[in-house]
Amino acid sequence: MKTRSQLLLSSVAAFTLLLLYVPFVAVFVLSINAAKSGTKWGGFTFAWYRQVFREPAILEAAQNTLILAVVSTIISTILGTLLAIAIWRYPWPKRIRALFDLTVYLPVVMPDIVFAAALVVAFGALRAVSSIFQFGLLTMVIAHVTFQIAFVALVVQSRLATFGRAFEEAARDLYAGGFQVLRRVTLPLLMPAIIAGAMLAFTLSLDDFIISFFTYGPTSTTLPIVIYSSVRRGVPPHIHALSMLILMITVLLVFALERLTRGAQQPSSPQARRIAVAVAGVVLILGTAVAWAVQSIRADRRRELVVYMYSEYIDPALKDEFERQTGLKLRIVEYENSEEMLAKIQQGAASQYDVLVVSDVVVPTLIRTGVISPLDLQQIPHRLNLDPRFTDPPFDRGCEYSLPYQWGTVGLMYDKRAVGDRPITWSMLFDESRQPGKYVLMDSMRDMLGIALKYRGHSMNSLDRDQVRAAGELLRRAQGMDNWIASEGGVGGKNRVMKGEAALAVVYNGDAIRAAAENDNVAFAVPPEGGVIWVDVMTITAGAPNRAAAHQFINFILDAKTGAQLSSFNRYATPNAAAMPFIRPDDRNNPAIYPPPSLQAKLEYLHDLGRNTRLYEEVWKMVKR
Amino acid sequence: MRDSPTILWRGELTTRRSLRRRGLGVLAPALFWLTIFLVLPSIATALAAFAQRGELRGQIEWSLTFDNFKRLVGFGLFGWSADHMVIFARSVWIAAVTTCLSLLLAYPLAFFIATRKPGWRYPLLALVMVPFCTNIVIRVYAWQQLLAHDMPIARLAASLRLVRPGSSLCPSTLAVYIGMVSTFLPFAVLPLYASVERLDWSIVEAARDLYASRWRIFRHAILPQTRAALQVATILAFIPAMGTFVVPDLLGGGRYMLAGSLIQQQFGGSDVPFGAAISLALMVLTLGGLFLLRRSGESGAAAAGELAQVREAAP
Amino acid sequence: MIGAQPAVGQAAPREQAAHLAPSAPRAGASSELRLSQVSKSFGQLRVLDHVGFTVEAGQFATLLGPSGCGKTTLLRIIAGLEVADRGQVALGGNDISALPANRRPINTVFQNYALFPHLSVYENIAFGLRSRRFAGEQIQRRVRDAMQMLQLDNGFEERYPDELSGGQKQRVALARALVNEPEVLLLDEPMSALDAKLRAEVQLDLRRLQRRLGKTFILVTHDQDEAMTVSDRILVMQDGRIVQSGTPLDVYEHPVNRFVARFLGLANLIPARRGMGRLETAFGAMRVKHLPQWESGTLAIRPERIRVSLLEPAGNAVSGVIRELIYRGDHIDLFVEPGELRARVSPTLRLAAGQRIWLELPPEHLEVLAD
Repeated sequence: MKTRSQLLLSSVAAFTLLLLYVPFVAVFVLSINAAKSGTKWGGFTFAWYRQVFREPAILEAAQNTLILAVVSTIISTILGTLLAIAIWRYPWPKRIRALFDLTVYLPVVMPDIVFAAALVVAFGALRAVSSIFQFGLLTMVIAHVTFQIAFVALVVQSRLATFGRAFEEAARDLYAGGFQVLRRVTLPLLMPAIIAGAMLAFTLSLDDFIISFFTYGPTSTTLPIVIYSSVRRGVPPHIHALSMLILMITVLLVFALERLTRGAQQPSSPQARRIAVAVAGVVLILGTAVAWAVQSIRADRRRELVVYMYSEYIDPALKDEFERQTGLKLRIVEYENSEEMLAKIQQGAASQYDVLVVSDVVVPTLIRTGVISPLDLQQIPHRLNLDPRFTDPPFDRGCEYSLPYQWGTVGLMYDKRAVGDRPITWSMLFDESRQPGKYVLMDSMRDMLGIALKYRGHSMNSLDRDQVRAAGELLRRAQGMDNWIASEGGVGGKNRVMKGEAALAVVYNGDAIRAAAENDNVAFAVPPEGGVIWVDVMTITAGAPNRAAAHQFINFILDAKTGAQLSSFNRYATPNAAAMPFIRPDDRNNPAIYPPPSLQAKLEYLHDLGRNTRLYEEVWKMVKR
Repeated sequence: MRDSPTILWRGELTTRRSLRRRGLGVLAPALFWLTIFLVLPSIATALAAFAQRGELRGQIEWSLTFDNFKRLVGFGLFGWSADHMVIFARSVWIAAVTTCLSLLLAYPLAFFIATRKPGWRYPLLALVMVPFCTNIVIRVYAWQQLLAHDMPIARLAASLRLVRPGSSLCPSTLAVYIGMVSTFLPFAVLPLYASVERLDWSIVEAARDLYASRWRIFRHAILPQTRAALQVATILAFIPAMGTFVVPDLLGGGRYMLAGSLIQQQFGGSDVPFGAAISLALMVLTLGGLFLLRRSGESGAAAAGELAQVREAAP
Repeated sequence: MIGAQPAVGQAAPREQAAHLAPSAPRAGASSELRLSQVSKSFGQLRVLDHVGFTVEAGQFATLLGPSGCGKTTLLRIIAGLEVADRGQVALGGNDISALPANRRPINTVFQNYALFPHLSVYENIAFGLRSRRFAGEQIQRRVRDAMQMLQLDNGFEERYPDELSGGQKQRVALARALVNEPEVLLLDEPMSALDAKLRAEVQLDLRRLQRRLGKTFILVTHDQDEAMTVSDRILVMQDGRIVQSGTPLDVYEHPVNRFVARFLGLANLIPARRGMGRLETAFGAMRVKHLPQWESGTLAIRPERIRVSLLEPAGNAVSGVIRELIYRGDHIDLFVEPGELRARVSPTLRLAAGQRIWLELPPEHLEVLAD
């Protein structure tokens, strides 16, 4: 007979479990839904699951994740066990013992992000000593091992504490010498705890995101990082499938672990030993298989060109074309915004890339910090195709370090049904009475502040405190209004308008135009008050392993036909005069892509403000608060 | 006699000095590693908090300054503003609320599992473990999907006039809280379960025999036995909650800044010393919280022991 | 082979003990254990205070005392698991004080047996032999012999400690120790983990085993029943000192002081003062075997030695009233006024509470205690 309190207990428990699992159900449904987005049921399909296995980026990330987990687990288990045994076995004075305990507990009580920050500082310093400390698999392994050691040591230590002296004394009474005692008594008895510690370490590694995120390099993305990047852009369905696969593997792992540890509860039973051997064997086999796979898959760096650019910025067909023409392998690594890119570069990852495709704003910084080096213009004959407007930009006079890739604007993408006939203006964001519906702002400091400044009639590069602050206030108010949904990357906002969730979004023009091609209800415009004009440029890193290939790439892009194909794909404007004839007339005449001169006068480049960026940063913080 | 007397240590006749030497040898690899990759970096970060930001992005100018801390407390370019303090306060508040809610839900769940028939317990525990072992990104973005405007929950909320029709429940403060609780809940379940499983029911029965009401039974017979575990659960939930940035990032829509996001931003390239200062402040806050917790409860050794046992209970 | 079986009841000839472990030091033919002036302190606490005694080869000696008296520490010092601050441990004439535990030909049965949980019964028993690098067949022979001697049949070989009962574990622990043919076997409260009924059986088995093997056994216990059952010699310890040493009969019948008198069995303690040729007590004058040196002290007499009768006896008579009477199956306990004297009588006597009776305290059983 269930009493009332038992019923209450059961319902709370059920609710809690539901809380934990309900989101997974949603993702599962999305992963088998044939419709590309949204909850409209498009039929049942496994296509997305199949696609997961066809995405090289995902496969590589999976490999990295596994290697990372296995290698770091092995190292940390050994070190952690040694640490625990050493602390327990020998007579240390009280204060030293306290010091050891503190060191062991430190990673446990440190928030992940503080730990990650410390590691970044550490690797920065170590890079001065040796360049193997570039961000990559090595740094990630080191990072993981460092926090895993503490957990392994804790598990082993807790088992050791239950030991007592009896076994060791019995062994000595039975004529065993020091090493014999360790080998025949202590270690075997400790094995279940060591294995438990190893499993814990393995799980922590697979589970980790923050630390990996701070320490990864271009060739060492892991699955969580892949998922995170795609989330900020609007999740494609095969990512749902990927998540489900990971979840299923986790379920298998956990249930297997439960079985194993159940047997190993009593350190005595022979079952535990057999299990321990089995687990060790499996790990070894896994590790070997992975290592071998890695060996055979890692492309020879010499024949590979690594380009770091914004996401969804190059036509895959062009990538193939380049590879066909040159016989090189082209690896595109993507980033979402300049801050992210700079973080990676500043922390020393520069020479892992050959070509950097970056915003104009950051070029002066890159030049001054020696990240990029001058181009050998002789190797780039196609540069003569360029429109003269772009051959002597203020941020890089004479195109010594950079050549333009694409240019465009930032403006408003809107749902025609919500806006109707009204003229598009920035006041649709800032003036509550003029808002046609919900809107998404761009999570980009300079762009949004610049827009707000422009709306007020100031320069986007103003250093006037009051002006900037007022712009910040404007943005804050805009964020506080009911119609505000979010501040996201441009692609995020685009997706929301596409789905009908928002009426307006601040986006890059190319993204919007591509969206408009798929969806008749959306359109793009740059408000007459003015906006941002930007140029993305191609640069070559100072330590590029493949300088010749890098130049080849730039030259390839600046080819007339290539330039046209590029712009047709991403719907941005081409700086390539020779490519213009090959651009579709529709695009050429589209004011959204190629703004008329009257509007062009109102557009501003964002300048690098050096130390004065702090002004904007502080205001931005106020906005985000 | 002071030099190195022969002692008997664990059945072995030897000197303290040679024991220590050997001990150091076994300790060396792990200690070396931790020193280079943990201790020194932590010190360096703490020091960097007192350094100045270089002219170029990401550079550090090693000249002593308290600028970063002044900024932290709010003295920015525009005079004093509470922005950073607000962010910190918000982080502490969210972490505290999350921890409380997590405990409120985890405790009954732990009880529920511990009072099932033995055959059911492990599968139920495994059910709790699966989210715990799943990557945080997956768990959080799953909420993002679930709370979208065209999913049943949002539609339900809209039809109940709780939100405007067509809007999604995320990003929003509510979404952040839901995400936080569901993420850190499993952390709290494990230590609580470990403790409840080992509960001495005879004490409960004694209380019942002495006419105690349900509440009194809980308060005097059950709660004291699980106190250490509650402390551990609090620590396990509170610390990561303080430093998380994935949850507010994905579910808070960029409006919701927590200390974690703040740090991530600074290390994102512009101001490493400021980021270091924030990290240091966060660390101090966390340790402070822990210290308060320890003081109000049992000795640290018991809690630490429980912590270790929890870790053992995890997979 | 481990010890042939001599006739029951006879002490095993010394030659049996000659079957020694390979690494044992031999000087004299005797492997007597001699402790002298052994002292040990833990911090401020003085646990052993100039303890000295000798146990002859083939003896079963018991260190008996309450908890905290230092008996376990003493045992561990003999085993080599503790080092004395002062004093010497000698075996067969050789000073082994500086030898570490794993080089002494002494083995221990630990209180909770300390069987290695990860090893089978066979491997547990073989552990010491493997440490000393015996050959495989030798090990097998000796292990099987030891198991047989302790009545563990072959089926036990592959079992694991967690599958064994308390009694079985104890036998394995014994086998594990004895298979190494130590000079001395130490047992640290080996019965404490067993239930009462089993304990009684095991005590007898242990005694018989020792007789058969003829080896020196030293047992530590706080249970005086146990000590009496198994020992050839009991060493009673109090507060780090040995207060009396002797055969069970000696220690029981002739306790040297109040502590020993009370620790081994029940005793009636009667304060007395020296009079003229006899001792004055609250019950009147008492005659004793030997007059003590002291002016005032204590007399002791065991309850079962008091003669109860209805008629006034000749000497050392006390008149009393039965205050309480408890039937115990094999005897009746009487609580007699005055003085709360306890007497033990045959169960067939028909007595009742309140009855007036006479108690006789025979001088040959009236012990004069040193205090």
